[in-house]
Amino acid sequence: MTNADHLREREEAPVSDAAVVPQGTATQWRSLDQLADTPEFREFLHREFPQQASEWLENLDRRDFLRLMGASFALAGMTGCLEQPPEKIVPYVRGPEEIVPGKPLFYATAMPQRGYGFGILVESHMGRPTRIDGNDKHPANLGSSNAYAQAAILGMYDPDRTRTVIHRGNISTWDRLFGALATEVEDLKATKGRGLRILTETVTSPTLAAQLSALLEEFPEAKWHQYEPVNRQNAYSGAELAFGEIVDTIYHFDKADVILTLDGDFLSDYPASVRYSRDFSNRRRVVQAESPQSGDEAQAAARSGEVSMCRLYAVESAPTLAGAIADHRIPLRPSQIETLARAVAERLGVKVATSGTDLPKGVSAEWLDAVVNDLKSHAGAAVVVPGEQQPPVVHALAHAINAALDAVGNTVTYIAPVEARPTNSIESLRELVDEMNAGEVGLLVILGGNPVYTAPADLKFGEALLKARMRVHLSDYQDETSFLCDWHAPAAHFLESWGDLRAFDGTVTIMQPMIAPLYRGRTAYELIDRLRGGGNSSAYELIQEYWTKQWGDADAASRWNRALHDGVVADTAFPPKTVQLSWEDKPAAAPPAVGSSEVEVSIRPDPSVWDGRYANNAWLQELPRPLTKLVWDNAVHMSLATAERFGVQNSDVVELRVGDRSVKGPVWITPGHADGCVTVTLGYGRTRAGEVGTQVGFNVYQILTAEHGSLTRAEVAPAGARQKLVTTQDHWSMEGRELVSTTTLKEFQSAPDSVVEGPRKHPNELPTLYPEYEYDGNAWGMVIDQSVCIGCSACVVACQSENNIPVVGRTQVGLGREMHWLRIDRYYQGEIDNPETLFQPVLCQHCEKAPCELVCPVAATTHSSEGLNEMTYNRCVGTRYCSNNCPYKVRRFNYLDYQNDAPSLELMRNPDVTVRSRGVMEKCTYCVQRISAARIEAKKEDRPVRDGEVVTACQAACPTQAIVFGNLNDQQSRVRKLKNSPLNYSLLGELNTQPRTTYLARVSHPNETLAPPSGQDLPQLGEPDILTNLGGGQ
Amino acid sequence: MLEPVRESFRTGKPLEWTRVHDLPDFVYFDHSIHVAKGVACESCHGRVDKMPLMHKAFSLHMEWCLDCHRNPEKHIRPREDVFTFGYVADHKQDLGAHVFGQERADVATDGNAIPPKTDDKSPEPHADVHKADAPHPHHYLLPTHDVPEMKRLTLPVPNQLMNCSTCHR
Repeated sequence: MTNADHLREREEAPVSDAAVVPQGTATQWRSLDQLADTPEFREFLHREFPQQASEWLENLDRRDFLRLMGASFALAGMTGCLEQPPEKIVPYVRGPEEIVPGKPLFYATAMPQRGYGFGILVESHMGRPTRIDGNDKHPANLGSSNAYAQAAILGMYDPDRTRTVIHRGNISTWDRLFGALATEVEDLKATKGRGLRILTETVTSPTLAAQLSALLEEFPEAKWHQYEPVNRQNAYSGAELAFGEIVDTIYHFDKADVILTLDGDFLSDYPASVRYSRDFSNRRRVVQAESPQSGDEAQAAARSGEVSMCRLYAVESAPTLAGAIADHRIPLRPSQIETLARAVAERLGVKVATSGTDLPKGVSAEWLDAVVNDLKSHAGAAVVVPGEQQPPVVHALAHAINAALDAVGNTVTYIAPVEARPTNSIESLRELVDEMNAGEVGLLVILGGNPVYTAPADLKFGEALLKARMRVHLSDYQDETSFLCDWHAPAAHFLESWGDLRAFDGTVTIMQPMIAPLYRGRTAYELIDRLRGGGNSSAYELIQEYWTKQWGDADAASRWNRALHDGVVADTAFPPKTVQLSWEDKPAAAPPAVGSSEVEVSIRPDPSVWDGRYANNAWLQELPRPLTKLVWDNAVHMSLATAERFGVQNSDVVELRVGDRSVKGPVWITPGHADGCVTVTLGYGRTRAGEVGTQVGFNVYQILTAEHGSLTRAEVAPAGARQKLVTTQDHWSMEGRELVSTTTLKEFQSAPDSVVEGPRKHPNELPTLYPEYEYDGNAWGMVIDQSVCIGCSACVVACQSENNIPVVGRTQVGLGREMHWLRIDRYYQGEIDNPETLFQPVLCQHCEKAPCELVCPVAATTHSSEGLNEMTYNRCVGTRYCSNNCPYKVRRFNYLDYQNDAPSLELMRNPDVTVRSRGVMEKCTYCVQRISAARIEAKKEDRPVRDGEVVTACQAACPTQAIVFGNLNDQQSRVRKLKNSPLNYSLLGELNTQPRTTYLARVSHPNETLAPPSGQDLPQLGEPDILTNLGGGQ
Repeated sequence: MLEPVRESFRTGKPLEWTRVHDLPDFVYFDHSIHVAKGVACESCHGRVDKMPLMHKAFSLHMEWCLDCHRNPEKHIRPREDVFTFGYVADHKQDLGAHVFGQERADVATDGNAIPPKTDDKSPEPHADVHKADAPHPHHYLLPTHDVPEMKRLTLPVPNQLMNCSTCHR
């Protein structure tokens, strides 16, 4: 039976009255398999721990058992402490001034994320960067970060980076390359640069832009092309339609009361997404840390209506982070978004060409009227956000709507484009391909990027590339493009480079290297300088020269130092621009009807590898994607109805055919996806990505065409094969218990203390046989606010980076052996077609009455006097009883030696955290290394640890500041105040583990004139035994 | 005798010392806090001033570390004497020193410092211990504000030193 059949059975089954679920909440479920409760799923959960966990199959008597165990004890190294291998102490002869061995230093720089600057603070140990965090002075993140920034450190130490210049397959040197370029430059000078082409990605660097402009002046016949696979040309074209000029749009979600997104995930897909997440969370958070102290006062504040939240409506085709946190969400196909945008515009008084069109199916007039009224009544504090990949006319409509809503200057501002030279990427690349095919290209220099892999398939870039006479590619890896070029030049990683970048708002950061290039890489600045016939200028000299000229010589030196210290150059943000809306809508041709075997296809960047540039980053490959929890693969995402239409299930391979191009990929049914369309993500199916990323997933660029772009349509046909997709969504089953408490703002305000009931209130009053312990000193605790957790998973990678957590690979993840100490559980609530999505980060709860501590036979896990549940790795013998006893399933076991890594990766490890070997249990330690460091400093200065001095890695990374950590004994600390909130509850509190990690119930803010979202007030799905006896498999 | 050092400075090539006091990689040891709190060099490294060639004076096993961590008051001395070799504890000072109590009289529960009392009539601290046959008093019962210069060496609740995670992380 297929999943669909099982599900239908379940839906038709009578609803039982004897619900175990607390009143007022609907059943939460994690996957379709769980709902369908197939026998395979039951088996999968039963076997969550490896074979022999539940029964002893062989007939073994006691003597034999002891004999076997005795043998393994002898081999397990019970030979006592041996002599350590001798180590050396190697001092500096002339030590750098500031370095103290054992004490890290922090430097500010910026990371290019799709070309835009993302300010970061890098922790360096003994001259080696080991960790990246946000820079709180930088407007793009205000101190937090995202998964790409957290994982970037692995990219620097990647053993697959090339270490030398490669010339036609042979090892060469920079001198030889520069010599060849010098010869070329001589010729170019004579011909005014005929045949010279430079291909870059998005350039925001002022210095590079100035260099390229100067180059084009010196060589008038040369051309500069740009191609960025996930580009902003639709936004630029939309701005041109609306205003007659290209502008960048900046949203101010901290000022918005009502937001409507039109297929736009502003929480993850925009250059400013981290900043938007922070601003949005500040309007979403119900319990402020400055709230009153006692529980009674907190309740009073809630009742008085002082709390206000913004409201988010999301209309989208595929489930995204914005849709997950939205108060109301409607799935629509990508082509229907335009119709909806017109309808909204018309109701707000914008003159549209085709008036009175039918609303897309799925959107009722009442719904639309309610949304429009909400927007109108909050004019000046409302905003409509168009999706980046929606066609230009939708962007223009959004600009018109925002103008009608009086949003300009409040929730929306416009600035001059941050990109140095905004270009239509596809046209620029097409021009280059045509020139190459016509034989007009002599010297082609490709700075970064991977156009052979990422170019639209119909341009046939690879074939055209071979027609250029001399091809030079500057990049980190010898990738698909380098393979077809004459010269591969190893690029310096951004952590090894001098440079400059502009953030989404124009703010400049001067990049400084953390370490000399490991592999003698160089930057684009040096290469372009050579092309201009320059001498031996280093990137440092070039950047400094540019900025000294900008500032004038007066106090350039001190401004330089300040810029490097702060990580931002003061006053470089672009001022808001006044624009005139001059758009006239033209009648839109109705989109052609979708054939019966056709679907619309939305081609998106991947939440982990983006456009493929991070394909070799194992941390990102193994990071469970926020909504699907897939790892190490991409999939064809579709709704259940679409899957039924084509007769496919999860992991069945389908072929997507666009014209005469096709690609095959496995299906993944994504609840909440719109019917009649599929979503596929870029960045997979690479052939030359390195050891990690090669041959992972399927290559969606094969159906990305210049003609249709990222919103296209395809024919779908089952390919008859199966390719098992690995997802972590059903690992660590919590047996179906209601885990995410939800409520609405109205309920919270009317009856704050009824949100959380019974034993889950924290602290609870359940009796216990164990003696209470007094925590006199510090008492560490954590609160996670589920109202603002957007599920972005930056914390997961941050924890991995801070605590030396290994990567285990697809097979091991399939066995449930992923090692992430922190996981984000994603629950659905409500109907399958459009459920509510809830995120819950789960880490070690540091229970005061920890079930794991009691059962360790060797006392490897103990309780500290400050409330931490500690783990002593060298004592652990690998019984795994602790993990068995943990009700939260947060313990991770090293089944194999996952840490046996390349030498360069050893440099990356955090020296403050032990690297665990095989056979050892590990789990979240509340970043005890950071607690210890803060405590030691405090003791030396003879003062208590201050609130905010200890910041766990996950807390630092979280863009929305959902995680708060601190000393519970400090009555003024933020964490103490948050725990006083009536929304505070503990996970599985009825088990009386008294965890130190508690959660704040998620508060939503639905529009009362609309029917409640499907998650609420529904009869329970299925019978009670779904809660107590889960089974199934996949 | 110092020729290798001079040569190292000339050539820029560092000397590679063999590590004598080496703890396993899974142990975290912070020197600065030990020095700051009055653990002398010779308490762990022995009489280095009398060693022609460096050797381990103590086993550095965990049980040896715990001996001190469980009873720190027996093994520390005033901060100024940390570098002294052959230190003989001055009983007058030693006894009053390093008092550990559950409360600190100079810090309130909300973390703010309480100004010290300036009571000139307070008796000389620990006058009774100067008697020849006075028993070893229980140090942890003596309040810190009687010994102002030792205040800064007050250690927190003793069992924090005995947490596993203090060294194993």
